[in-house]
Formats: sequence, structure tokens, C-alpha cells
Amino acid sequence: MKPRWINLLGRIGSILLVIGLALALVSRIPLSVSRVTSTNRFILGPEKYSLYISPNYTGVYSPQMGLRISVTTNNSLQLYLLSAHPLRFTGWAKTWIAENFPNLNEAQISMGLNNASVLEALVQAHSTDVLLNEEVKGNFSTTYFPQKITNATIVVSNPSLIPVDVNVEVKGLFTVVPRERVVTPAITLIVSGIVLVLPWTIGKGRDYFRS
Amino acid sequence: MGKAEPFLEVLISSLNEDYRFPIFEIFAFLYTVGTFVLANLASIIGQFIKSEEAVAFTLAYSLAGLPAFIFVILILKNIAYGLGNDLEKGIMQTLLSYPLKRRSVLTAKLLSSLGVALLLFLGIQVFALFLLAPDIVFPYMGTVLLTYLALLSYPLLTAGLVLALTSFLKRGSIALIAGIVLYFASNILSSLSQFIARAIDSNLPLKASAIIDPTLSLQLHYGANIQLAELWTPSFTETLSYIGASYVLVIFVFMLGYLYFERKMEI
Repeated sequence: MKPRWINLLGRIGSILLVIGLALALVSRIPLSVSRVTSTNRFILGPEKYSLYISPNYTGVYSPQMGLRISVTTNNSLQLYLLSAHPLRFTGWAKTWIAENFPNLNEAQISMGLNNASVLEALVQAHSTDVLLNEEVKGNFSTTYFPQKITNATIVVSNPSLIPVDVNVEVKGLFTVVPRERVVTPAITLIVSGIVLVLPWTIGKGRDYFRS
Repeated sequence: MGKAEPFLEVLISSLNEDYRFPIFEIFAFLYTVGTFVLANLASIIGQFIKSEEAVAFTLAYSLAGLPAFIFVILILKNIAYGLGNDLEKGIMQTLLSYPLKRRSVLTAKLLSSLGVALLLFLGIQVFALFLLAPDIVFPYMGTVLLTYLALLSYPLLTAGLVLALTSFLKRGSIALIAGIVLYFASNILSSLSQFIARAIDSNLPLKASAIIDPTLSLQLHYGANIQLAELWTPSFTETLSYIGASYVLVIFVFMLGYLYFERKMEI
């Protein structure tokens, strides 16, 4: 009779193996791309920036829900992805202008809201909220899945002194599980499962051939 | 020979019976696939603005949907079919010949049929939560635990009722069907209570329903059910008391099952 602990470890191993295989299977489910593309073509004035409303209405993204951003431009631009809601970002901008230029009235503050210099100052002040910071020229495309559930606001900034023609296309991306998080646990589970299940399987095989 | 050894013998025999290869593996696979495929973080986006606690609740709640149903099927199979089979085929007589009290034999059976299934369910759920959203789970562990406590209350109540019914009828098939009907009845009861509550403009039906299935009070506390928010928004303490009350009911039903098994049942 086989020792009971071999049976116990074998069953634990087979369960770990099955969980690992299920994880591997789930991680192989391909990305699905949203059918809705949010497109916006505009001229961005010199030393100005523009906030871009995300296509999923709420502006909230997660490790399961990401973005594909495609930008086409005739000049150099700075593309940011910020982990803040557009309203929150505008609040930061208003506060920053009011603090640094205390003599400005409401109307003047509103006029200065879209200045690229304000954006630069805010990006430096809230560097932890910058998810993506890329210099873009010509055609540019990137895929982004945040590491945690977060707001995401796309910002394009024109630091140059000439107006720039910009076309921004954003698509939502969906995945069942974030692949990079699942691969290591799946491999660990499969390997440890195989190690534990082997003595049990060998024993079962021997019993079968003996009978 | 101490009491631990015969207890372990009964437990091992029950484990062998309840989880024959590859039943446990199939359920583990279903739990895992069900958990990840239904883990829709997008569904919690509406909650994001309210509070992060509400996000933790909604995440755990959405993750447990299908696996909770699979868990119920597994425990009902184990209790009704397993225990019922033991009673019908006279295996229980052999188990009762061990130098153990009847309640210890039943505890060993329940540890196998309920405890191991619960361990697998919670293990995979917690693993999935940590894998998908550690930033939510770590700071709000209390909320996640509370959500699972509330979620498991009704399945455990169903399990207790099925245990009592199986012991009483000494047959598993009827108890199994009754258990499945009871599980689905909770949804009907919940919908009915919500309908009546709106019709009579009173939160009493909701409170009565929350004693049986306290997830409703948690949903309303975290604002996950906007339609009923006007009728009832329980405080945290109130929500805790409803979860407590539901577990008092669960313990009472299990005690009835134990008492019948120990004192009244003729084998």
C-alpha cells in the first residue's frame, strides 16, 4: 500500500496543476478591441495643451481595461497620460495659477488654463500621476494598461511656437487577465503541481500494470 | 488509541468519497476559470467615484458570482449525495462503529464536504483578488472579508437545511433537489422583497430579506443598489448586525441538524 502522504501530495499537486493550467488557458484569451474609436482632429495652438476625453465615458481604466492611443501630427508634440480625472486636473491648474499669479482674476485664470507652461509645472508637481510621457512626431501608436484601477486623461501639449495639426485616435482594449501578472504564478503552479503529482502517478501506473 | 486517529480515519474516508479523482480537479478548474473570466473590473468603474471601500466590495462581489454557485453545487453534492449515500447504503453504520461520538463523525463528514470545498473556493478567490487588484485588496482587507462573510451566509444556510433534511429523510436525492431549489429561491425572495418594499414604500421587506441573505444590506450600505437607496441605506453597524443575525440563523440550522443526527436519528 502506498503511503497516504503520497496520495495527499499527489492530489494537492493535481489541483495545483489544474489551477495553473486554467490560469494559462485564461491568459491565452486574446485582447479584445473596442469597436468604438474615439477620433479627434484639431489644430493645437503654440504653447498650448489640450485634454482629451477618453472613449469609455468614465475615464477609469484598470489592469483589465486599457487604451490604444494613436497620434498623427505634422510637428513635434508631447503626449501625456495622467492618472487624474480631467476635472481634477483642471482644479490643479486653477489652484496652481491662483497660487503663482495671485493678482489674476477668474477670467484671466481661465484664459491661462491651457498654457503649456502650466501643464509642465503641474507634471513636475504631480510626477507620480504621470503614467506616460512621450515625445511624438509623425505617426505614433501605443498601448497602455494601468497597473491598478485609475482615472486616465490623455493630454497633448504643443511646446513649440507654431500651431500643430493633431489627430488623436483612442480605442478601448479589454483583457480577461493581465498576462504579465498571470504568467509567473501559472508556471509556478504547473511546475510545483507536476513535481507533487509525479510520485502519485508513478505509483498509480505501477498498481495498474501489476493488476 | 486516542480520539484523533479514528476522527482522522473518518475524515480521510469522507475525503476519498467526496473528492474522487478527478471531481475535485474539475471543480478547481471551474472555480479558476469562472473567477477570472467573470472578474470584470470594468463593472466596478461606476463605483470608483463613490469610495474605494465600495470598489473593494464590488470587486469581491463580482468575482464570487459564478464560483459561489459552483461552491453551492459542490457542497450540496457532498452533503446530500455523500451523506445520503452513506445513510442509504449503510456505510454510516461502519463509520459509527469507530470509537467516536456521533457528533464527531458528523463533524468529520462536514469538514470534508464543507470545509475542504470552502478552502478551495476562498483560496482561489483570494488568489485572484491579489493577482488582479492588490492595490484595492490590501488596504481594504476588512471589507473584502466582510463581503465573503455575507456572501457565504446563504450558501451555508442552504447547506445546513440540506444536512437536516438528509438526516431526516435518510436519502440524498430529495435533499439535493430541495437544496438547489432553496438556493435559487433566495434570488426570488430577494427580488420579491425589493418589489414589495417599493410597492408599500417601506424598508421592512428588505430588512427581513437581509437577515436571510445579508449581501443585500452590504450592497445598500456601499451604494451598489441605487434603486433602493431611497428606501434603506444601512449604517456599517447595522450591516454588521444583519450579517451576525444571518450567522445566528446558520448556526441554529446546523445545531438542529446535529441534534437530530445525534439524538433522534435511527441508523
